[in-house]
Amino acid sequence: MYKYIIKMELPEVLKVQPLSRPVNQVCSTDILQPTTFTQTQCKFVFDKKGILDSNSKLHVAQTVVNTGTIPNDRSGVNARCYLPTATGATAMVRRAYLTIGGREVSDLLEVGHYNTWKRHHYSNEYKKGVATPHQAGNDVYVGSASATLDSNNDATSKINRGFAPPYGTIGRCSSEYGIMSKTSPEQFNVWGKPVPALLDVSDAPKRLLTNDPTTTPGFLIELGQLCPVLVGLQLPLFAIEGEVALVIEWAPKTWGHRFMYNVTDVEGSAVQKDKLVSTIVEDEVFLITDTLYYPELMGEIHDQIMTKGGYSIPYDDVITQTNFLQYDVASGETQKDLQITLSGKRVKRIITQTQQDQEPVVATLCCGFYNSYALRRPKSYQYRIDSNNFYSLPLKNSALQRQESNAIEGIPMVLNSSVFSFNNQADKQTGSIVAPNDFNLTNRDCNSHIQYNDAGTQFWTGIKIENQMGQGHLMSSQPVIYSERSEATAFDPSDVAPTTQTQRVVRFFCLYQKVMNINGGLVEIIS
Amino acid sequence: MNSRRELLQVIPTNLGAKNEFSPSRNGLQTVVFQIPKLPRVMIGRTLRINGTFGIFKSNDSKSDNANLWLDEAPLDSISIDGRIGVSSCIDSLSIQNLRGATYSNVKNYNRLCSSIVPLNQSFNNYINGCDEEYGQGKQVTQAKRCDKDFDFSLPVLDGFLQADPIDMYLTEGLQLTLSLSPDNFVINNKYWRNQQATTPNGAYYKWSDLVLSVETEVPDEAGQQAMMSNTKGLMTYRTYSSFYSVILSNQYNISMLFNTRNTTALIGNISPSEWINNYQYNSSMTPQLLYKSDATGVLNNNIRVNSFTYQKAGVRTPYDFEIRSEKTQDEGTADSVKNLTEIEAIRDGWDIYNFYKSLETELSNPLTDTKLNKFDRSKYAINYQDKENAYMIGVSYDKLGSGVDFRNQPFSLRLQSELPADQSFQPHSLYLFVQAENQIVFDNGMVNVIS
Repeated sequence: MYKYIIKMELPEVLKVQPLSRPVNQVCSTDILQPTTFTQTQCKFVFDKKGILDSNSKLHVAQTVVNTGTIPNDRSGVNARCYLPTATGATAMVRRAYLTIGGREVSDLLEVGHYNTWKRHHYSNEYKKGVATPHQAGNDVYVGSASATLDSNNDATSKINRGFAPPYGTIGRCSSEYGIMSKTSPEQFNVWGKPVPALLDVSDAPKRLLTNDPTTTPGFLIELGQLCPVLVGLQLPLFAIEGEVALVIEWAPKTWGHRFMYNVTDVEGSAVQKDKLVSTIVEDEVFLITDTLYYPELMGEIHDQIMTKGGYSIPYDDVITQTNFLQYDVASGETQKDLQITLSGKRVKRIITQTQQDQEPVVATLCCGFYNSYALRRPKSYQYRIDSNNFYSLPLKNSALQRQESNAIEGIPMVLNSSVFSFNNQADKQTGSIVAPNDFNLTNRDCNSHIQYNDAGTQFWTGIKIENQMGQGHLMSSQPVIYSERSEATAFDPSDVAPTTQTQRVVRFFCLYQKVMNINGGLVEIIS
Repeated sequence: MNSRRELLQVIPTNLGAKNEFSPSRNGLQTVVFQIPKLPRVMIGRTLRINGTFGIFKSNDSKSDNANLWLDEAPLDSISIDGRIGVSSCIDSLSIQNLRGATYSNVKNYNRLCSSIVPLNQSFNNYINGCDEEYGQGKQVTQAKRCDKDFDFSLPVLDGFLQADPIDMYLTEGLQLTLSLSPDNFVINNKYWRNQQATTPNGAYYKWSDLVLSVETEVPDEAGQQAMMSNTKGLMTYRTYSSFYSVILSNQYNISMLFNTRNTTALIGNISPSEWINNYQYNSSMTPQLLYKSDATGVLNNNIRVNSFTYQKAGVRTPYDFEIRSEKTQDEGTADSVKNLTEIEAIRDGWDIYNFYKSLETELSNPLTDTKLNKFDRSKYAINYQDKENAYMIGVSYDKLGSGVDFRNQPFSLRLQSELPADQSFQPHSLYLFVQAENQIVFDNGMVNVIS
């Protein structure tokens, strides 16, 4: 395979990196409408011109309508739905694939789940300043306090500013005081008094989804989030003969997938979440494509591609495998093995998601189905590659598990440790948590859901297989075996209480190396 | 050469009946890890000590800070320092090979961490509770965390490990020896914040389920053979030497012989001597010189620092001027020149440029009882950091990458401060850490460390 890679080094202008010397450049930004659009998918076909900048973006919007029938029809009332807090706008997309000449170059299943993992690596500053304005979501934690106000006037109450225990919890940025101000005219008689409702957090009104296509907000998703191949590559569209197309399949139109619901609508009436239906707004779906031109270099690149052997471009693609695990409380600690078929592939990373998909549990989470829900009791896990254990000891320490997760992308996850696991929250022996004191997250609401429900909901694990030089491991015909020793307890949330069994959808995102050869206007994929 | 990544995990060699270390309870005050001699390359900066940490009251029960942290007179409300977390448990750190040659030895490692760890890459990361490495957090968050045991994955901030990847075969394997701190160094009851708090005598901490982990690159068969046949090599790294002194007056001069050749940086910190190994105070804190407040009777007010002067063999080096502070201290503004020198000493020494320190920590304590107290002990900020003083001292000697030769030439420090006329000066401990470049020459099984 590598004889192809070293054929001809990719010119700088086709890489996503600063140029080493100034180059004349023209950037043209165009709006590209989909060639086909339905409520299940849409397709974009790129013009055969210039170089596609990977910073191009998909613009997308959705409305959420309450479809309750008369006399309970509330379709005309804004239900104040929001995008899942850890995922944002990518929750609207289930799958995205790029085809060149009709052949799949990159295929990302479960775009929302994969990008939830990626989003955990954004810095807080980036989340707050860029990701949230572009894609919504609400996942910056900065310290918080209890939702309960202490009305006593003793010395302790004065010291803690009127907040009752628990002290030391963390939550999304919220009011330190929750005090009525003159901007709440209907409450003019209680100015200066603390009000519990003002301690809660909600997404900014401009990012709440409405039931009206003309007022619902639009969001931007980068092409690199949809197609991993474009993360490090500027695609030379002008030198590709075949049709270059991006196909996007939308996520299911119900709550928890494309959007999450508020408990009450804008009029304060209870929302029936099962009646909420999302519609992608056709007029708001378009690509904002940046096309780059380098007048002095285009001829040379064209010449290289058309007549001199072209370029071989190494890139990473993602295989997604989905399994299912069921945990019976009565069985106690058991070992569970799952096989991941990756034979013949040069694998760099495996990211493991353990999604809780039982609706009664998901309904309480701000992140919806985009979770990787830890068990209350710590589990240990091991990967076996080519019949060898990857770890000399199975990983059991949750902090070490976190460090191994951090190693996968080479960037530490910027993720509140109480959202990552139940370490320091649940009792290690029994798995019990007594709210609110045992949770390290606040009991203040976020978008009408208690924030401590998010504890342990982003337990993403996995392994970095690639070596220091960035080379993946060539897998033999034997599957990779993921095995965990784990135990569910009666305290693990499920659809009934007390829990007798709980379940997880186990999803493996496996990054492996591929090579795209662009030669004579044709694109060849070598895996 | 092809290679693959592998995470090496090692358990302590001096385990008792259980994998638990609690100096005052089971007598195990030393943790020893031995990393075998293997034909692999170790990525030293990924080395971590993993385990579970817990603190207990004298009757083995846990604290209840979630409920009691803000009580007027919290009984046995115990916690640990929020800035350095579990690092406070390591009193000294020694790295040797399996034949006994010492590569690095840092005494008062916990106080070294007090200077380095509070530097952050992001203020938001510090306060948002995302740390599962050091066990860091705002003091109130840290207190709540101490109500239950928690897992940690502690990086070891030693220059030997933070340097280039390590040939595990050439270095003849490694032995890490950690001497654990006394309980009353690690645990405190924040008496400084609240003088009604009851002293938690007999409180203790425990490390359990310890595992050392480190990333290694395992070469293919040919690569391993090549590593095993190589008997010569040279390794350069930076390591710290520790020095300790007691400041007994507000006009302080010290002279000491570092005897280090390529000296790259000096960092240090101060603590009232009364605060070290004392359940009532946080022994990891780094205030500037303090005198007792009349109102509270505890060391509460800053002694105005006028100037620092660093000398080598009687000549002001590296700065040929006094680093003056009196004006900024009077005005209650951050002391920018001192901060510049202090931060550079760490940034340059670690080749890290995106560390920063919140300058608001400089402004924590008042100069007198009559002035506004910048840090109100009775109220904590919910969305903001603790304004507890992170007052460091330090200079960088390594602007050109060569360091300064301190062999046979004494280092001197003059610290001028101004104590109010009617106040007495309490002894303060000064911890100095001298970073110097070491070289190890490997020659056919012989290891020669040149400092």
